[in-house]
Amino acid sequence: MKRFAHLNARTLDEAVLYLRRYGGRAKIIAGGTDVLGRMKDEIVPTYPEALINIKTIPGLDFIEEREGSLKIGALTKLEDIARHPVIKAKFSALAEAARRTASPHIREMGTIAGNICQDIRCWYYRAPNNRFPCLRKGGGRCYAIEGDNRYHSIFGASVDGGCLAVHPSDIAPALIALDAKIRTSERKIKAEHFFEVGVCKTNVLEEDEIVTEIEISQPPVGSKSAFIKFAARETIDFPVVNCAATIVGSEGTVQAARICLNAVYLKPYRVTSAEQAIIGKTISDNSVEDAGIEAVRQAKPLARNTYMVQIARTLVKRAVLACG
Amino acid sequence: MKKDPKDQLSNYEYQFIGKPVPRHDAWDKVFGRTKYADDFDMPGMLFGKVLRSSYPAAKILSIDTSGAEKMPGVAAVLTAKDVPNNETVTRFGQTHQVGGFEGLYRVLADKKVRFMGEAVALVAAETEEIAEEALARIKVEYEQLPGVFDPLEAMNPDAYQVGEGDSNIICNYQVRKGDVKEGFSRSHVVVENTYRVPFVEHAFLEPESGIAWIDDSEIITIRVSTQVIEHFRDVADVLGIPHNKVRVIAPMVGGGFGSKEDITVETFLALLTWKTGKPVKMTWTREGSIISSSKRHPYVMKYKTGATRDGKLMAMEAQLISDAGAHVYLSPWVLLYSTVDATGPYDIPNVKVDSYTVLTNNTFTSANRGFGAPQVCFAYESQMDELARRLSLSPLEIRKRNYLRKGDALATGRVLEYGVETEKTAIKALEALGEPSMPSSPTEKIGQGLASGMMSYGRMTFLHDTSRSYVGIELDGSVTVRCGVQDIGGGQASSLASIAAEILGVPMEEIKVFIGDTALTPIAGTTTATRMLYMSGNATLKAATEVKKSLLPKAAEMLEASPEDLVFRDKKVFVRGAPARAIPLADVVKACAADGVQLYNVAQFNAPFRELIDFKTGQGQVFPDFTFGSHAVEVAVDTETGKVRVLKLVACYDVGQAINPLSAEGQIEGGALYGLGYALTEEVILDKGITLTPSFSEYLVPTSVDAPHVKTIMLESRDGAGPFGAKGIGEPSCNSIAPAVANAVANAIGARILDLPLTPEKILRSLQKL
Repeated sequence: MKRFAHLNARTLDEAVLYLRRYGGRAKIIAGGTDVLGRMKDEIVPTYPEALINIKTIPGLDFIEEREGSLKIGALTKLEDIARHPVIKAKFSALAEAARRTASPHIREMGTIAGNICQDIRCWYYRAPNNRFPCLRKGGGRCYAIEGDNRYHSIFGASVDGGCLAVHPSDIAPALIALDAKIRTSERKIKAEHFFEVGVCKTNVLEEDEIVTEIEISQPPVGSKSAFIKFAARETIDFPVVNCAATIVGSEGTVQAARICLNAVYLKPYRVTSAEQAIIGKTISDNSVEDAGIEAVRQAKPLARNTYMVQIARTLVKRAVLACG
Repeated sequence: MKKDPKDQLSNYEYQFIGKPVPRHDAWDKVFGRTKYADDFDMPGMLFGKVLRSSYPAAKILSIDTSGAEKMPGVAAVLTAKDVPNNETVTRFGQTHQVGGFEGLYRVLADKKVRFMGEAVALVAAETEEIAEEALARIKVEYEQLPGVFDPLEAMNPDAYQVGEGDSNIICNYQVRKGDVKEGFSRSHVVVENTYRVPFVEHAFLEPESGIAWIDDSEIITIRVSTQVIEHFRDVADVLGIPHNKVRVIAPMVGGGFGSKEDITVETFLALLTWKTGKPVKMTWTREGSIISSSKRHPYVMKYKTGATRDGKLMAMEAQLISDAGAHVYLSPWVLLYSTVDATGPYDIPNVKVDSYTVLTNNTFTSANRGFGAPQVCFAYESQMDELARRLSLSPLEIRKRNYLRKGDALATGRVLEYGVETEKTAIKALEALGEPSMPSSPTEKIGQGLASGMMSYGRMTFLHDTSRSYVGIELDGSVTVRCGVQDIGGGQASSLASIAAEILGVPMEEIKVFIGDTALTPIAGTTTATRMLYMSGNATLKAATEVKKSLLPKAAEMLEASPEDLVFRDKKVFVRGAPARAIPLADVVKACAADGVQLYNVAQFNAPFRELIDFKTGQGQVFPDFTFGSHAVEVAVDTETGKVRVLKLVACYDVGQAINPLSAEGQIEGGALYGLGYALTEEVILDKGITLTPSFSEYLVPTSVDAPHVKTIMLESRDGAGPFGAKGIGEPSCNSIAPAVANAVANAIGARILDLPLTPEKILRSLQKL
């Protein structure tokens, strides 16, 4: 690793101040499970000059039910979310997404905000020592187009320039399915609008903006949520595809639905057409089959990832069924 | 000794052999007291680092080290021109020189780089950070070359030349038996398929590591994680100094699996310590290890197998092509193993095998647990199931009609003179597997699969393999064993303690085994080829027996009995049937010492020595003996996602005689999981020579959660070439698991996948969902 400054922020304002001072050349560190790996492997040519430690800011690690909402502090560990009785009972998609993230050690270190702000895992991008100077590093091209794209986007390239990487978070689709809001040092954003496709960016945060809290409204009566993950192994892995769904039902009929896939595109991919396919219907083998088909109707798989389309379709079906 | 196969844990007269006892080194490992290579520091030591190539194929136009050399704290920067003998010939661990197997061993890249990760320069510095920074300041000017990354392409005469020679084909072997044309014409069913298996990473816990220093008598001493302390010769040759000026010490090794059979850090360490005069330590990162050390060979295997209507094999034709990567290393040997094992444990009247190993600009390949056997096992066992399906025979039935038996000859003419219990292992494995489980959902399919395999233990007989062991008894009756084994975690040292304990009647706790030191322990050869128990076990057995013999006359005199009636047990000596009249062993030893009786013995065990086989016909003896076994597996396949879950896994092997059943079972369980990764998830993926899987988040080894319960069944024929009739189990234990899984998947989904690993993508494609 190269040398860098490590600054303990005592307040949110101080952290923001540090970020401004370094003007994009600093990174936030909390659990460190993503940022340190990125630095050790020297993935990107520009190395951060400083890490701003926010673990030293009090009052950011909590899970509370307040004012009709569930509030989760930015520094809350994934393991605490996975085990929390209220989250397990009422926001099961989130509890399950946390439980299926990484391994016990990483869940004990990694935070919910860190998880949604994490960098992508494309193996061309992450090859140590900048071995593939790809689009995201200011290089000329995306290596996955002609290379081994078995874990890349099935919904085409991102808007600006053709990066085929996918967003690796398990938490993100759960938050979108639960219609969560993300509070930052500046504003409150719907989870759905938090993730953004861009070169060198996976979210809308400004250089000096910090996620402080996740807020999820109490689920309406008759609602259920579920999260399903497909990965090569039973633990540790990033998803090949995952899917979260929330279904609001009344007298056996679906009133409202939010379904979100992830690891299929550079940002979490909400499949509204699949939602439309089941609204007004009962959850049955037939209706979920339609939802699955609709979810991947726009898929544009690459040479090596057609199988992901089949898996995405299956996970949509199973996530909806699990809400039945 | 009885020759009938006996079931597990049936032990006759032994006190220690066959008894499940914790290994003598187990507690130290559990409590973290074992000092592995990287746990050892020296005052004033420097840190060594390797600069690796930036390209898989390139000319080196110039190297400028001045920037690095100028840095404070940098003690040495070395490139090819600084290495006394940068190019030598690889004859790794080989004392008998035979032709046809040499490869170039180039310490540092010179003029041309052949693979990504090849060492170009070395640095020694006061801290790791300085060394790292120094690497960044070495300026290497490259001219990129096209390279070749597919072995089939590399075989073309006009292909890019990886090395300096005029062909990428390293070598070719042939086996010829009978007339395959005739055999196929008499077959009612002929199955033809092309199988592919990937690069595999060894994935040991402990990456390559060591420390070197010059001792007070000017000896370059290297304490290194290795399977072959005898590389001291190769290191001395590189430095151009006498062999006896280099000493290699192997501490407990945190896993080898074949990748520490080749030289890893030892030459680099020796050069840096020789240049600086200071101790130097070097430990590779995981990424450094994955991109630059050897891998298991990928193979393309064309198989054509024919059988009569009643399932009797008539002919087999196989073409094997292995990707040797960028340097020769052990590729010719690995290929020879595959060539001899290509027919599997079956009696086939007409056989034709043609095999090739080819240079490419991929990471070099060399030894990996199984050494060429698991690749062909995947092919021949898939073929057997396909024949069975076409003939409507059960997988067990077709195998039973073709298994080799003791006294039969392999296609190479070699007659099997030790126990061959393959059929029994298959029957027992299937019995234990039981009835298929019920699917847990309508989209799940259950399948069961069987595969048998054969793999040698002991090195190739034309290498004239030998081992030596010292056994001495101390005045208090405790026992010292000195044997130059490398213990790579398989219990190699502990099994020697069991053998000495058995012969001398001394409890395990009172046996001390000193291992792995070229200066202090008799040279015992490599911990490779599943040879250690066979070779050093026999040497230790011989030495311990000699020590006992030398004590017998005195003991007989003291007990007023005849020597043949004496029993050595519990550190006592007594007359058979009269343990009450026992005398302490220590008293006998003291009395012998007073009389000047020799209280130690150094014994040498020689494997059978044979001459080189005929490479055009394959006829001759290549191996001392084989271990036979079977795996039976049950899988559940999710037909909508392509996910395979292994529900049941049974491994059944004839181990000859389990010296310590706990260790043998550990090897069989470990082998099963090692093979399970090969079957389902493990694959080193390269994009034009660049590794896309340089860490364990991309290279997918089964985790504890993925591991099914492994049911182990050990048969003990007591009919092996090792001590007490033991056979070797380390490598054979992983042999047939991948084809068993593939056969179970084929059974579940009704379609056969010809490439490993069996990924969801391939399964969904076979199910025609894509």
